[in-house]
Amino acid sequence: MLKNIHSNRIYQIILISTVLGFITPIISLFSKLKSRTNWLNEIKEFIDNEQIISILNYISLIVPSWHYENSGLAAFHYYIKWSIYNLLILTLIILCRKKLLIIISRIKNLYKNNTIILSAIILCIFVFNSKVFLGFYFSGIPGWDYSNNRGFGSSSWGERQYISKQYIKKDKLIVDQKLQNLLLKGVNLQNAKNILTNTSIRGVVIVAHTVDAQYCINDGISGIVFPHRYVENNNKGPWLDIINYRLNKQKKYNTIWKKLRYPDHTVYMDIDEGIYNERENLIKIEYWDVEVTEIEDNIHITDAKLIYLHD
Amino acid sequence: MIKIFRHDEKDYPLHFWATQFITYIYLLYRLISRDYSVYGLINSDYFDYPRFITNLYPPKLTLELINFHWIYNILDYPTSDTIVIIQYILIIFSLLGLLGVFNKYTPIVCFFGYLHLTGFVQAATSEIDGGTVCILALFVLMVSNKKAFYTLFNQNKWLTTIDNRWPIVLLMLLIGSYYLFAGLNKIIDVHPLWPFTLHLDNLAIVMEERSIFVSSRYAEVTLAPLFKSEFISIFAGTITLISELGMGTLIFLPRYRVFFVINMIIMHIFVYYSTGINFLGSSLILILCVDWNCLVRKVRCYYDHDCGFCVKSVNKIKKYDIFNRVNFIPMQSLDQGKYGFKIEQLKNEMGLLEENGQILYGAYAFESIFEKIPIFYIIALIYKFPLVSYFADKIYKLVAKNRHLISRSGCKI
Repeated sequence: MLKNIHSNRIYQIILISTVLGFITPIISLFSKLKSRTNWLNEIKEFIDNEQIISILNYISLIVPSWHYENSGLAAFHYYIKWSIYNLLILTLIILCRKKLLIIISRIKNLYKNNTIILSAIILCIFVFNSKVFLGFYFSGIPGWDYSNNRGFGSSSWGERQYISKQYIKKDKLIVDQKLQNLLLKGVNLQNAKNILTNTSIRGVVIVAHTVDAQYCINDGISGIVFPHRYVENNNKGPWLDIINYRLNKQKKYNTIWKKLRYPDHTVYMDIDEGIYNERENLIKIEYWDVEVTEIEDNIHITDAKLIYLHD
Repeated sequence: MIKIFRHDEKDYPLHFWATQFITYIYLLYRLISRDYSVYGLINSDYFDYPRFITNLYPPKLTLELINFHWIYNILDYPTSDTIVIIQYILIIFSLLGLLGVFNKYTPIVCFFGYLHLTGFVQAATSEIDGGTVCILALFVLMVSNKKAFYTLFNQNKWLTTIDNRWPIVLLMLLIGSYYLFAGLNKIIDVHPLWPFTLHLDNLAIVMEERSIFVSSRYAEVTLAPLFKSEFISIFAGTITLISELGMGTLIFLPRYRVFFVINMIIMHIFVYYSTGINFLGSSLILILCVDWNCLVRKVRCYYDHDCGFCVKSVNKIKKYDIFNRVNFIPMQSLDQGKYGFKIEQLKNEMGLLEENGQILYGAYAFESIFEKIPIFYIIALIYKFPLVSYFADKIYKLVAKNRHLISRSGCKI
């Protein structure tokens, strides 16, 4: 079929992909916002105009919705920029139709004997412009930078909300010694000493309990890619079962294979190997929001708050 | 400089066989290392495609049709045990693929099977799990002619055919465009001057903070000071962006292919150690994006037999050409215009005839010779870095001009 495809038809495919790439991000944005209960309030934070808000509200009524409550919403600028990019490309495609047809014709002639490669080229352009996700192929990893990511309040577990560094010297310990000793197992003391100088940092310590032992772990045990996305949205989900299931499997790995196996896509810090020798299953997992402070060359937990409990 | 890597030329099977071997061994390694069965424990309500890339279009109308997750509209989501069985079946098929058995069906099963497994990741938490290029390589194997595969029982012969060549062009096109898109996204999503807003110095702070908590994603804190330099941030950003955009040129800018691929591999290593995101295995498929067959193609090299320096150099090179890839022939035996050579130019520069009829002179001829002789591979690799061939050409011309001064044996010219 593609062997005799006319350049005009290829041009039309590119045109359609560009139109899709222009329209879909906007529709998707509306669809996604609609699925969120507070979407109007979220919009109001950005647009302070009642008329525009009411127009947007009206549009949202006629836009179909295919998103779930938990559907990730990228920053608005992604959707806007994708649309603007495609609008520019659309303008170029229409204005430079003749030149584009010549290029298409040359490429078509070059690959006229191999429709698979010609199809792949058309697929590449279609996927990139339309931003359609085909599973085995998509429009590439999105771009980002670290310009607004100044470290404090932006890293570690849960990516954003759980770490914050404070330049306040603490000299009073409000966490009792037993809990302190337990939570300190979830802190790399050497790195903390090197990095914190008379300062505090907030982060998360995850404590896994068996009947008579405790271990500081991380979500990496689950083997799920970006597990915090799951935990954050499902703090009452079967997390304990997932961790126990994976732990029991990993306990069977021998030491050499543990080192040789291909690491998971999201790699986490090393945890206490003792947990792999534990015979008992975990009975609960606690997520503690802690404040780690360096006081006179020693590291202390100066504040601790239980944020999630899976039992 | 621009030279289309043509899909319709006959080529040796080395590159395609390497693609077959590396793709299956990488798939096998992934499958025996990773455990997808954990997704069988997740509530099916949670398979809601949370990432914005996967749900820009309704996933049920796009993604699920391709990865066969539409069947879960009819059937229940699989249990962990069922996913384990799927994974074991894929392990068996990737082993069969590795051995070259059932070459017609193995890539189809592996492609759709692995796409199906990845579908659970996409439905639950992430658009990818670092295996996209592996799936693309499987796609290439799936659409390739089965006669091109190496086989266990009926050994395919070492023949030059078009079927060895076009799948490699397809692989370069798909992998190259995938990385090109990432580069374009940086420009569209962030800024055309992305390297200047990258700010790895901020990432360095994140790395240090992460290194304090066991709960964090991996970060190699010893690398943090390196990233704190603004110059390094801009330099790394520039190289990354140029290389990602350059990956789109794999099929028509052969000179920089190796450079771009090496940069992408370095980028994957840094991403692993700085953000705890593992794309390291993609490096294996990236290596397939350079022209492996240049190692086995034979060439004819025409040199000036009246020049003592040239004869001496040729004799030295001949000693290391253990696979007899280079056939050295005195230019004096060549008639004017034969194969397209210019005799006058041959008197000043060594000439080389590639198997596909391409003619190279001087430093570029040497580059091709270095690609054929193992002991010189490293020099051939250095040649691929920007500007190296330019300076090599200058040096060659300088040496060629003064060869009668260099040579003790003397040069008759």
